[in-house]
Amino acid sequence: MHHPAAFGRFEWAGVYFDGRSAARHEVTIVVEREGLRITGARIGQVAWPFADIRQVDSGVADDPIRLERGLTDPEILVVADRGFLPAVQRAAPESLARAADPARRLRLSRRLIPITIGAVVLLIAGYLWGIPWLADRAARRVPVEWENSMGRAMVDRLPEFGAVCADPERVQALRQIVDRLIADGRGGRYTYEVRVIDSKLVNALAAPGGQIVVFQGLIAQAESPEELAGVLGHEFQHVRLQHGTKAILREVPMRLIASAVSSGGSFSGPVTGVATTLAGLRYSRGDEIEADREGMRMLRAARVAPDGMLAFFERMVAESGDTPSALSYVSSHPRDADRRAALEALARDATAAGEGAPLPLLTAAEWATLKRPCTHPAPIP
Amino acid sequence: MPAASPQRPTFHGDAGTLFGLHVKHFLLTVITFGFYGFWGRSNVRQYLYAQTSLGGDRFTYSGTGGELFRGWIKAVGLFILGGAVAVILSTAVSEILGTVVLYLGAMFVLFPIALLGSRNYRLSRTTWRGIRFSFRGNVSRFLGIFIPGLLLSIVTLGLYFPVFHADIRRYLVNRSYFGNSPFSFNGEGRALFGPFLLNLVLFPFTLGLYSFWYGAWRDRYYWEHTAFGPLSFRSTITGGEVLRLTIENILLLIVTLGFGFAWVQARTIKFRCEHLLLVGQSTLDDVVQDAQGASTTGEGLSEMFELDLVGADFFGL
Repeated sequence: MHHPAAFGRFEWAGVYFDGRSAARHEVTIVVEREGLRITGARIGQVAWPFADIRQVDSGVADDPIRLERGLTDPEILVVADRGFLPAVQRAAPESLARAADPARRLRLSRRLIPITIGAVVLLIAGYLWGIPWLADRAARRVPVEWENSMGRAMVDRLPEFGAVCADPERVQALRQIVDRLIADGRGGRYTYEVRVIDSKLVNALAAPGGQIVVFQGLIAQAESPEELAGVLGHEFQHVRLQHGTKAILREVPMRLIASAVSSGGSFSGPVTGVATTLAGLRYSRGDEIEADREGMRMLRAARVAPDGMLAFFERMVAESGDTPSALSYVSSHPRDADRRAALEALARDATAAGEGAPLPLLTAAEWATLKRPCTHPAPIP
Repeated sequence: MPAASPQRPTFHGDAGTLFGLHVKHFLLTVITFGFYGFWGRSNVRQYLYAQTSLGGDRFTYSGTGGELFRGWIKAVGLFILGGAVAVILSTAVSEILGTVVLYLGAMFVLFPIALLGSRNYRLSRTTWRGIRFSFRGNVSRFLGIFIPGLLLSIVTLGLYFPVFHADIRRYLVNRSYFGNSPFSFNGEGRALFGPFLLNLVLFPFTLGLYSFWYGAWRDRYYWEHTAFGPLSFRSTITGGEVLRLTIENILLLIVTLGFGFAWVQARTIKFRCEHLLLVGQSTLDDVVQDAQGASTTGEGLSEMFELDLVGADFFGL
């Protein structure tokens, strides 16, 4: 291999392919006024007028320069020397003067990596915080009727778990607790409807719009009306604070984006998967804490003894070892030391504030009505 | 210039640049709701091929995102058609028949067509020294090998599989061309049988790790029996090295939460290049341009099956 300097200013060493055979020709290239003169042992002389030459740019820094002539099965000239392209550009007219010079190009990684890392961080931040922020704003503008029909659609699927306990005494007793909690506008703009479902599941669910479902199993586990009120207060707050509505507004666009991105293949799949899961966890935890806090406030304002809520949650955590069902109260209401401490503080606070002594919720007879097994099950209307 | 003997392919790319490409690809894919994916994939391939050289000369890949997109549309059409047939059979005849036809159709017909089409497309878009590669397979003849082979593999509970696998390899290699000259494969499935059985026997005792050694052995066997005219191939892959590469790659992906993807890709291609040798004396001057067109449908189907074999089919094999 000759060093280009050995040829003087206008001669360069390169490799030539004729586009017809796989033979490799080591050639000498002379840059002339009208074009390139290519000389090789087995090809003699080939003249390439500048007008016929095009550059095939790999877009990668420090790659060899590749010039071609012809459209299908072109002749190819590859020159590794960095000085070659500037020499051609000095001699060539318009067509080649603007050719990209790999030698003058920054490595793509150096140019692009800082910008793209920044952009990815921004996109992920937009995804993790921007969409939830928009969802929160949008949730406030969703009409109550929409939330109602959304909630209906969710509750309508519950008969799979059991029939509704519709006996009038039970409904009446439950209504007393509900009315006490939501009196004086404490429930916000929603109308609450609580149904008891004849099922051994120990859980309660709040659908958007005020549809609350309590499984009879949970009432069976509660030891006082105050404990049940604690659970209801927590669920009412999910409705009032629109946690379900916000989750839907948040999840739908996030899932759409995630699926669009993962269809792009490569590493975008795992990244968005992790991001979506993290976001979901973070928000459901935040929602539970908020519902705890506001639920406790609701109890205090309604003059319901706050230790019921605490006692019930504590007992459920203690017993959760025996009921590892996915629909158990603890698995859908994750609990940890922080949250328990926060609840205890709120309860203590209430006692200390002396906002008026707690008033009893139900008579013993009414509570017994709620606790008795479901005798008149009826399907959800 | 006679080819120096032996020589290996070289990968010149660096993972940083590849990462930049992937990130750009990712951002544009998000903004375009996934549509840029086809173009991004093409760009990445273009980069990988252009950064791979043999005997000092780079490969080129000329496939475009538009072609991949059209292939994808056709594949979706084919799937809708298949689904419609299954639904009609389910309602008109029986549900079981519809499901069976759908699954068997995918396994016995769509999969081999995708395999063939993907190879056809990629080879026809690859050049080296200005000469195009091509694949001159025939769908019905390939199905004639694939369907009985797969059936026999199922009937013999997998014992026939090595023979089936080698038959497919033979078909794919023998119909791959560089310019006007075919590659050739003279391996025999029977030769794989012993090591294959050993792998089956050792599988439970080695927690499947012996498969790495079997895979490497098969790779070496396949390459040793692959030739291009007077040139033949050798692979120096060992099971231990493949296992190490795999573990390192998995760790890299976990530690970087997937962001190390470009490094994994670059390392894997480098590894493949370093372990492949081309042996023999030839100027390749006799190889002349002679290639045919390719349909992009197979490529689209291969995407749906996620058969992305990046780096596996340089050199048309």
